[in-house]
Amino acid sequence: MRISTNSIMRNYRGNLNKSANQLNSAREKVLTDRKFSKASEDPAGATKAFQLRREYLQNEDYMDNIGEAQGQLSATESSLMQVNDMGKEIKSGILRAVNGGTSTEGRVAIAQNFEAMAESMVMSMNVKFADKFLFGGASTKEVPFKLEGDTLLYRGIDVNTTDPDKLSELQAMSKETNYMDLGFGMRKDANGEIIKGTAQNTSNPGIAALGFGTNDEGVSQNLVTLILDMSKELKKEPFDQDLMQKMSKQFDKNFNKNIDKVTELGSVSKFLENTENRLLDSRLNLNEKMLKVENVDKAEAITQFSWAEYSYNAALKVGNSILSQSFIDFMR
Amino acid sequence: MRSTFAGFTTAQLAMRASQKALDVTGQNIANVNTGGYTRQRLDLISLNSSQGVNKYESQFNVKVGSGVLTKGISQIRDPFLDVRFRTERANVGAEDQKLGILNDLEAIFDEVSKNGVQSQISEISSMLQKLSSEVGNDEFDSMVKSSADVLTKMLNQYATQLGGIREEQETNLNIDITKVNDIMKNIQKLNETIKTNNIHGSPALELQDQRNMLIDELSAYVKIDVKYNQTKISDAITVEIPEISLVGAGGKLPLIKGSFAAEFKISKDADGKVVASITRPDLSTDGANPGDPKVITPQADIAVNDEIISGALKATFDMLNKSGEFDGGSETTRGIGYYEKSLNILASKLAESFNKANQESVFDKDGNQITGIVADLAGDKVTVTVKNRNTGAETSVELTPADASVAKFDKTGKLLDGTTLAQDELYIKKDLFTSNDGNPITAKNLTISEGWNSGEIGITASTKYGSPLGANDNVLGIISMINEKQEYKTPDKLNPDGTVAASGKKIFKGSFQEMFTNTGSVLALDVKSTKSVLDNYVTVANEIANMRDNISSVSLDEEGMNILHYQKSYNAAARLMTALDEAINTIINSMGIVGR
Repeated sequence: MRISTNSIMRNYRGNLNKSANQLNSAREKVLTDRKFSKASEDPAGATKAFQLRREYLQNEDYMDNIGEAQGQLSATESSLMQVNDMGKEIKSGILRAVNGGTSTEGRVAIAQNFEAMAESMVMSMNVKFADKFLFGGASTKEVPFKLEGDTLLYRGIDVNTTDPDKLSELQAMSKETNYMDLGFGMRKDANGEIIKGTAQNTSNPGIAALGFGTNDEGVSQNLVTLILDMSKELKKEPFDQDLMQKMSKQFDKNFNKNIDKVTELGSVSKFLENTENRLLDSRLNLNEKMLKVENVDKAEAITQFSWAEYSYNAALKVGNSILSQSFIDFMR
Repeated sequence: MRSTFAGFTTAQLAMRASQKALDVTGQNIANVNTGGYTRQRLDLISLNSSQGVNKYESQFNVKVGSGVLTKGISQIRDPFLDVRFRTERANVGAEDQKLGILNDLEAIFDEVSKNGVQSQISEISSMLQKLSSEVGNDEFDSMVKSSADVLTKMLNQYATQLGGIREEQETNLNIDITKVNDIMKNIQKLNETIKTNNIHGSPALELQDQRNMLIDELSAYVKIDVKYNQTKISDAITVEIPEISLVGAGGKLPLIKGSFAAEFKISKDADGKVVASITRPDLSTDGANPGDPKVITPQADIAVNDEIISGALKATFDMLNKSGEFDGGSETTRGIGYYEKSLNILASKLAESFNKANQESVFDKDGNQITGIVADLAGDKVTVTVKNRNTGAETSVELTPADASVAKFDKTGKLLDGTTLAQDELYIKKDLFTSNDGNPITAKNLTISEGWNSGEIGITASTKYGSPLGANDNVLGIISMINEKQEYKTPDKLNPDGTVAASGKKIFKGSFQEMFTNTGSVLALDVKSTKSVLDNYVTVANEIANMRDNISSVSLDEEGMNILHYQKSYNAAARLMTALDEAINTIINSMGIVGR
């Protein structure tokens, strides 16, 4: 077959170009550390990379949220512990007061102590963390508890109300939820409510912790008003032993409920710690996966580059020999 | 019997032929780098004028020929390879043009190395997460607003860039059409010149080479067919006149015939689609016979959109006019329109979903949500469907005209006793996104609503009845909405009177980010496949070009050999001349001088 000078040139030019292109792309891989810089170089890899990036960013959000939740939880815990400590003091005070050996002055002193502690308790329950009231349930901007004389109001409603409508409102408030997305697959049901278990409930309505309403014996079920009632009774001369007994029984119930609540918070804290570890692991995993999908193995990339460079140099050398000689050079 | 000086003519003719051959070789060598040059060759025939019958012939008479004649110069070219090359060239032209446009689109959509729409939507989600635990602090709402604003500006920018690419391609198309028309005009002029040269005896090989180059160039733009018609000028002369036609889906349309060349024209129809048409005179009675002046009557323009089936022009038309699934039917070519429309349905879905998620419910005075309304104007009553907030059961309540008064809502959205509602007042609209020019929302006009921008409205934190400041159920609702899978459909085809002619087709189901990723990967796959198809076509075209060159192009080795060859034959002819001269010299000067 006849070979013309033109076709030799064309072929050489095309092949040299191809070699140069391969060299260029190998060099890019080494410089940028990436397997591909455009989606068209690896469409499937790019789609996977986008998905991983999305998941990674979501994971970071969850980690931020968990930090917030843990902070809130520890502040809640310490408030309830304060209430607990005060409760212990009140308990010993009741024993001393009920015990016949205490004089009237002694009882009045105990009663005044009780009043002071009741006020402290209200302050503990009105604590703020990061600009939010911890014990307001879903309400975070309004002071939850207001003590007006002997009446304790929770978000404007008397905690010892007998009005059935208001009672059912208090009931609803004690079950209020305020959720935080920690990556449990948060979803809503048909009514638009967050499905339990798919997000973390961070609300601790103070009304549930302290109690509300009155029991069948007519004694307040709310810890603070109960203490105030007890202090009022202690100041009376003579005081009703029977009533004190009933109130003391109710107080024990409330005190135990508080301890239970603190324990519950302890297990929530453990749960959050486990979740945090899980999220940290997720972060590591996602990072690893992203590296695998998007980044080159450095050693491999450099090897490819060296080989491409070598091929290119070889092509250049060959070119010199192709293009020089023809018959005319040898004519005399 | 032999004439005395007979040999001289032979020698002279031989020398002339060798010299001519050397000239041709020189021409080939000089033009080795000329583009499109076909090697030339001298045609020689042997001269024998003593053919024929003599009345008185002796058997001892030997008739010898008297030299060599140069018949002409011819080109060595394989016309079949030309045809194959031009077909491949059309394919290469089409894929190359398509790849160029797709690369432009890729620069917009590719988010592998840059933070684009997808990461911005993640950013909005992050800001919402922060807001969910800081409800009531306006600065967190502002952060969501800023992120959303950046997103709308990004979408605006993408849409503008897409529009820019479209404009650029339309301008390029006009330039290409002008070029094509120029080429066709030049080819036609060359036709005339070559024909005239041929008639006067010159083969005009260089002009033919020029014409072939122009035809090669033309074949990159459209698929053409070249036919050479042998036309008889007179009894002794036939010339070859090429006829170039556009190979279309429905047959061949003549573009250049005889002394006339057609012209392409571009225009836009009502839908904004580019329409190509050909203007040419009535060629049925054209100057296929020269010297036959005909009146040129221009015909009506012929639309050729469907006829252009290959070449760079087809690629440009497809990318400008076709929108894949959005065209309905079974269209598979995805042009610029597909990406414009994909962005548009994403933008409108974004706005629609966010606005719907942000609306507040309307409650009656007992805190039950109102979910339906039926107005019976004839019976003069309004029936309202109410959803009980505790049981979730829906009941209907009638409001009589006596209850009717101006619709009143209090600050928490509670519906006050006895009002009339319009159908769309079942929700208090708190639109976050809107269009900035009053038209339906597209990627280009999507923007933050004025209310949100001025702070009048914000993200609705809770849609529950009577929820306190700090409840975040709706914020979480919006966060989960961002990750929900939505259905994306092509817009319904409407009749002129507004009714639906054909409902839209579903093209994708996924979240906002997945939809954008999908559009990007459709494009990436298209780029990848076009690249490999183009590589294939280029390889084949190069093969054929090589084969063509191997037949028609100059080889320096060969020409070098020819130089030696013809130089030797020239020397030989000169020697012959010398020998004959000596022979005659012997007769003239050396014979009959005995005794002088």
